[in-house]
Amino acid sequence: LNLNIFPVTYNDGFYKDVVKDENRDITKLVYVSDMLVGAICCRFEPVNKNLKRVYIMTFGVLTAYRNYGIGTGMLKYLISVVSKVKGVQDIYLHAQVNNEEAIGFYKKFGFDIIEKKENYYRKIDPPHCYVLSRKATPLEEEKGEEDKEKKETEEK
Amino acid sequence: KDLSLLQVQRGLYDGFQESRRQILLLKSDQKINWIGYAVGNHMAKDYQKCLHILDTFIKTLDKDKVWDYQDSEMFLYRNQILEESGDLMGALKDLDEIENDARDKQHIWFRRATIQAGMGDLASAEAGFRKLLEVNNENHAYHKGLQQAMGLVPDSEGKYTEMQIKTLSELYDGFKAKWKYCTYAKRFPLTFTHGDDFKARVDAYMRPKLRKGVPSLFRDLKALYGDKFKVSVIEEFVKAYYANLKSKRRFSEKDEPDSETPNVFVWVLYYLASHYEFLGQYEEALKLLDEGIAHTPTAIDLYVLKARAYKHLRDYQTAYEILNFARELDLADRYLNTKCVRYAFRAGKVQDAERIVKLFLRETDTLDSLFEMQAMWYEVSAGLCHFKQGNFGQALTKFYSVEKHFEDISEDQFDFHTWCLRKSTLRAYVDMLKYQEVLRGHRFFKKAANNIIKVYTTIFDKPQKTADGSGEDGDVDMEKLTPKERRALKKRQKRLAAKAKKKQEAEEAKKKAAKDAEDAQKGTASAQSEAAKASTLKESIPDGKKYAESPDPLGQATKMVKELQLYAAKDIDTHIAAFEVYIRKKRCLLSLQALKKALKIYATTPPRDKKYKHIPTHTTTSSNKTPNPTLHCHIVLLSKTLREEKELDPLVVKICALETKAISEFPVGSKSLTEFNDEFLKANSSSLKHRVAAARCRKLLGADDDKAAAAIVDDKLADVAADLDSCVEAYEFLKGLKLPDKAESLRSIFHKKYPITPDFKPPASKKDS
Repeated sequence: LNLNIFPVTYNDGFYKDVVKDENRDITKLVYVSDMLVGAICCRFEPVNKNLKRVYIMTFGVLTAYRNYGIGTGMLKYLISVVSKVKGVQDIYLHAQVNNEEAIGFYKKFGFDIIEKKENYYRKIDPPHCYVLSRKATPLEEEKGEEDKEKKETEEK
Repeated sequence: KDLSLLQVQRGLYDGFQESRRQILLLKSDQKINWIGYAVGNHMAKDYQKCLHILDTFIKTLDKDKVWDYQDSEMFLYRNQILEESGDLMGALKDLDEIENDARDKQHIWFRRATIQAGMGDLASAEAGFRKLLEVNNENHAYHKGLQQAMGLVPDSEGKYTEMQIKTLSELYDGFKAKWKYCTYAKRFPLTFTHGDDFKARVDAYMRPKLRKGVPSLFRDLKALYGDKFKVSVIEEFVKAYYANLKSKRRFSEKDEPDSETPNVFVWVLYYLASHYEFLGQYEEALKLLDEGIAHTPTAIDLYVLKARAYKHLRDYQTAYEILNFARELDLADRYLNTKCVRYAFRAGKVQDAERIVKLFLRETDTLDSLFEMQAMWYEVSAGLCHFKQGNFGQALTKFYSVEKHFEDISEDQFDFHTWCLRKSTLRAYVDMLKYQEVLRGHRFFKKAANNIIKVYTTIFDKPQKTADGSGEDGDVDMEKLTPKERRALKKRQKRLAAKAKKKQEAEEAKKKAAKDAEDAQKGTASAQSEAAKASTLKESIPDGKKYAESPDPLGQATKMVKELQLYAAKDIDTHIAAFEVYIRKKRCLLSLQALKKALKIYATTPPRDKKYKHIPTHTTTSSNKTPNPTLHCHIVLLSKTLREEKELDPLVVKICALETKAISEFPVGSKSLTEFNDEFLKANSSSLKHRVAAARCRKLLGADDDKAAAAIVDDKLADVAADLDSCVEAYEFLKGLKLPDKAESLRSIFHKKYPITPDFKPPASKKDS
């Protein structure tokens, strides 16, 4: 899947990391009609004893299956899972500067560009990328539901 | 008692009946003896006596107790006897009586309806089957029963009348409305409708399945592919789906754009590719598949189909590589694993195949466990591979393993004799006994037996080749050496053999030492039993090498021939194999017998591509017009043998002459065989297969190479009907003659037609195998 979607290749170490237990909840595959069409791979990166960040390593859907809400579903899922974990500072990723589609997509979900890294990539052009980040807060709709739940338990 | 067990084991039913009677007389208080005697009578076809016994026994039972399963089985068994004895009326009445006592109600209803249909009471039968369908609307037997009861059966060619079609349509549309999920009601109408009605129905049938992504849709509709009209209709539709889905993601112009999701496109593409692949249009299929793979590289089925296309084009290496790639996409899929093993064997990759199959065995298992598991698919696959590579010993090991399994299955029935009688599961028991009588008609056995025969005939034809493929000295012609050289050679061979043996022994000792050390660590008890198990297992696996070195290969082959003639008498392959063996033994009468049978079978079955073998044939009474090329060769060979062989018994020759006069396919009287062959060639020159047969015959009759080749290659070659197999045959034959130019030109012609097939690739670009 990754070979097809991304211009960069990943080595075996990457895939070993991906199936680690701690990363289980934030690494998922998406199937349509028994065919694998999308995947999201993330990992936890500790900042210090109490804080960690979630890094999105790969996130992609086969060309033919885009614009059907699969990507949205994956990202929403990630955000909701992460928002329930304590001590997460933010979710962040790298995106190639010319990848307007991706940047626009993440911005829709509240990601902001916090940094630009020159010559991040070795073999593709342009070699620069943006770092996009989002605080690990739940999405708006979910927040509303959570508040309702809290109210109910309080009333009881 | 033991005698009776043996008798039923061996199928000696008259003896069994008698023994059982004796036992009953001795010990008439044991229920099992009564039942045993009843079964004995049944198998000996003495129905009246059987009924009498059962009735007497039933009278002795306690009438007031609630009948349990065993008793219910007995009642049903008794009913079966009534039916088999032909007393349908009695059986029918009996069904009414036992209905309350017997447990298997559905069975009773089914038998009742079937008997009523058999006796002509169609109205009741129809009602009965309808009732059954209410319970289970997918049961094909019930549907067929209903159709028969309503007189809705096709004629001998498989065609329905207009009236029948109308009734069937109404019937099944009604069922479809009543039972929303009944697949039979949706699928069966495709079989009997045609024209525009068919068009509408097939369109409606395919769409939801393609949407859902049912990979087996093609397999489902394959049964319809005997009908050219239907094939073209389906092709038209699917091509339209493909175009529309590609451009606008919808099935047809009448639908809204974007009404379908992208995965549907993949399945439509898969169907279309399967369609082309089946019809032999491999280029189209492969083009589509590559497009599909670019679209959704994770769709495993596309790769599997691609590999299959390469297999059909005889590029086994590439087929294996593609399928292996597919397998690695999903290592947990057992189907991909076993398919990959078979493809590896086809490509001659023995070690790869063994490695891959091990992935799905337990960690403690070795390859020998496959023998224990009776994995016949593996053994046949491996056997064919070894045969192709010339390892006759190993090939025979595998094929004889299959034979051993059947022997074991037959032996295993022994335990059931006492058990079934005790538990009164009589219907199933009797079914099992009947099955044992036809056991070796199973296709795995046929495959193994046919191949064993082929191996032996190959060994017979090439006696210099040693069992495992010749060693370095094997090709030396013994007669050319002086006695001194011969002795030296023998000495050298002996020395080498001793050396090899010593090496083997050393290795085995080493292995054993290692194992012993291991065992000491593991703990002796379990290790010993394991070792004992492993060694008994190894002993039970047939030793192919011994078979291959047998001094009488044809004798061994004959054993297999006899089995096949007994159990697979309706297969033309059986008789062709029999002929091959007997003609080499110079047994002309037996050869003739086999040939006669083969001709008869061929005359009544229409010839057609083996890819249509899943569509049932209707044996035609009109005889087959085109002669069978293989049989033609046999006729020529037999005739030649009869005329020329010096050592034949004159009586044999006379009888054969009388017989062959009556067979139209044989040459008349003393006609020259060359002439006979030429006539055959002229009459069938539009088929490459026949040309090759004629060419072989020419060579057989002593014509020089040029003449033989001329049978195949001439100006009209371009118009000749040829499929891939006959092209390969023709090319191989020409290569065997000493005419490199002609062979080369033929090769390039075929290469243009089949660029992927490695047999036709130019020799320079061929990889070293």
